[in-house]
Amino acid sequence: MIRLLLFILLSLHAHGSKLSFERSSPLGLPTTITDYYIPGSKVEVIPRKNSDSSLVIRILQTKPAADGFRYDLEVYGLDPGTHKLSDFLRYVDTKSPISHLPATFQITTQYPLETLPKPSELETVSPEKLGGYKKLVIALGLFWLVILLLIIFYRKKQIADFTAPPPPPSLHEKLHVLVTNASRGNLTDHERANLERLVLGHWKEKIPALEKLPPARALVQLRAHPEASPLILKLEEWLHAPKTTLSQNDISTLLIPFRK
Amino acid sequence: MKSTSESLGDTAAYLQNIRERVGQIIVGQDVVVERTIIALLTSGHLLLEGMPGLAKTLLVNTISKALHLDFRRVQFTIDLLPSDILGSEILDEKSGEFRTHKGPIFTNLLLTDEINRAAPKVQGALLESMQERKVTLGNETFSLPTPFLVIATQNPIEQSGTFELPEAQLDRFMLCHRLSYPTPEEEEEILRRNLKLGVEKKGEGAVARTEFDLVTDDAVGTPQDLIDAMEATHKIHVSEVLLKHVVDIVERTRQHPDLELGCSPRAGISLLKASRARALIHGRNYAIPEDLFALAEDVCLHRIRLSYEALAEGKTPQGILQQILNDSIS
Repeated sequence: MIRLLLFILLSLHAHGSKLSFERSSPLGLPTTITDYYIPGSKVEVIPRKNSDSSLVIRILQTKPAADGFRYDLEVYGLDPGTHKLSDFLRYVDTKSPISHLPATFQITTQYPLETLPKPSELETVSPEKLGGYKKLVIALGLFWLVILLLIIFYRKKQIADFTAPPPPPSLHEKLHVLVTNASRGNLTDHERANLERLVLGHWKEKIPALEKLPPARALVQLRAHPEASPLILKLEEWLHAPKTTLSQNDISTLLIPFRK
Repeated sequence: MKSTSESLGDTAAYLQNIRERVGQIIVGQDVVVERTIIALLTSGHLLLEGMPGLAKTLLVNTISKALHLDFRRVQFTIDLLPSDILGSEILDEKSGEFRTHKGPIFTNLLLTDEINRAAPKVQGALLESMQERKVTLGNETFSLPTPFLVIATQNPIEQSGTFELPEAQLDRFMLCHRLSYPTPEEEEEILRRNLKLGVEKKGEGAVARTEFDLVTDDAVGTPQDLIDAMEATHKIHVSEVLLKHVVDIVERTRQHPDLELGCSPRAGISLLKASRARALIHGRNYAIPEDLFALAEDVCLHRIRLSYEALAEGKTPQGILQQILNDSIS
């Protein structure tokens, strides 16, 4: 009987001393609690959802005991003051808090609370705008289309407004002017040279066999051509010979076909 | 005293005789013969561009014999030195004094074969002498014989181991004629004549005759006839209108967008001088546009240079020049 009473007293003492304890630790330094007995099923640390938690508890080892388990815990204190361990632990199976755990943990500081440095506020940097590329591409496409339409319509308008310069005079037009002046006898040397070149060009163009020939060969053939040679040879004599027998009337007569 | 027309007729006949003499030895190549006579009459120089075996040496040899002129031929090679052409001073061991040794340039007709094979300094020495008609050996300056004509050849297909003549050097050649192969009829005539050459006996031996053996030493006319022909060339009338034509062609080469380098004033002078000589050869006492257009390619083509853009577009100097000539009469 005495033995039974003694066992009950001892076990109650042991039980009570293990569940209810007070430990202290400096702020921020880890403290290890070994063989801390918690009755009931296995417990775990309630996961932290924000940075407001005053203690950080890590279960280092779990050992089975009579009606519960013994735990080796590592505890970091983040806020000065006395904190209940039960606020940070829960049962694994039921996820319910351990309300009957009387143990407390005191976090001490060497300096008064007001003098402790506080973490500076983090600057909130909003990330660059992500996504929305499709809209951007569509917007740019529409912009490009507008510019394209503007260019097309603006250019069309310009072309419509554009008054084309008169085409350069044709070989025959140029020839006509020179021949008219030649018949009046008032051609400069430059105009005479032009007249000769144009007459040669006219015949080269008129005779199909000569059109594709190089000018050197074409001129040789022109001087022997039955139709062209009378004019060409007389023109040469008029323009190049040191003494010419041709009169102004002869020249005017020669150039009559070109006046039409 | 002969009248101008009689004198012109005599000169034209003399030049025609030269052409006929050359024609007895060489088949075809009438244009080359004409160009050579033009160069001779105007104291210009001639560059012939063509394949080997087109009777260039035979042609020059025949012309020199027909005109009773001294003729030398130099084969240009990479190891040729300026002194090999111009000459040098040699120490005479007996007298102990320097003796001048004149090079092959001291001749009337000098054929320089494959001029682009020699190093630039040799080309430069020759072209300088061509221009100045003088050669300095040691401390003494010698005038070259008159008439003096250089006929240079270059092969257009062999580019390796050649030194291309720069435009400034090319400009010293009055004419650059591109030789073409003979026509099939001419080729047949060449073969027929070759078959008749036979063998020449010399002493106890014999040797197969070549075309060179047909060249006789009998001259056509006298040296005075050549001088008269050269004087007659300078009397050929050039009208103001023809001058305008020359300026127009030269100006068009300078203005053409595909040409980086147009014709120099020397090209215009050469075109006019050559036109006068051609007029004389054709029995006229005045030059006409036909002369200009016939000679334009030989006078202008080696003096123009295409732009990089035109080259990239596959254009050719011949094509551009024909376009310029065509445009000038349209």
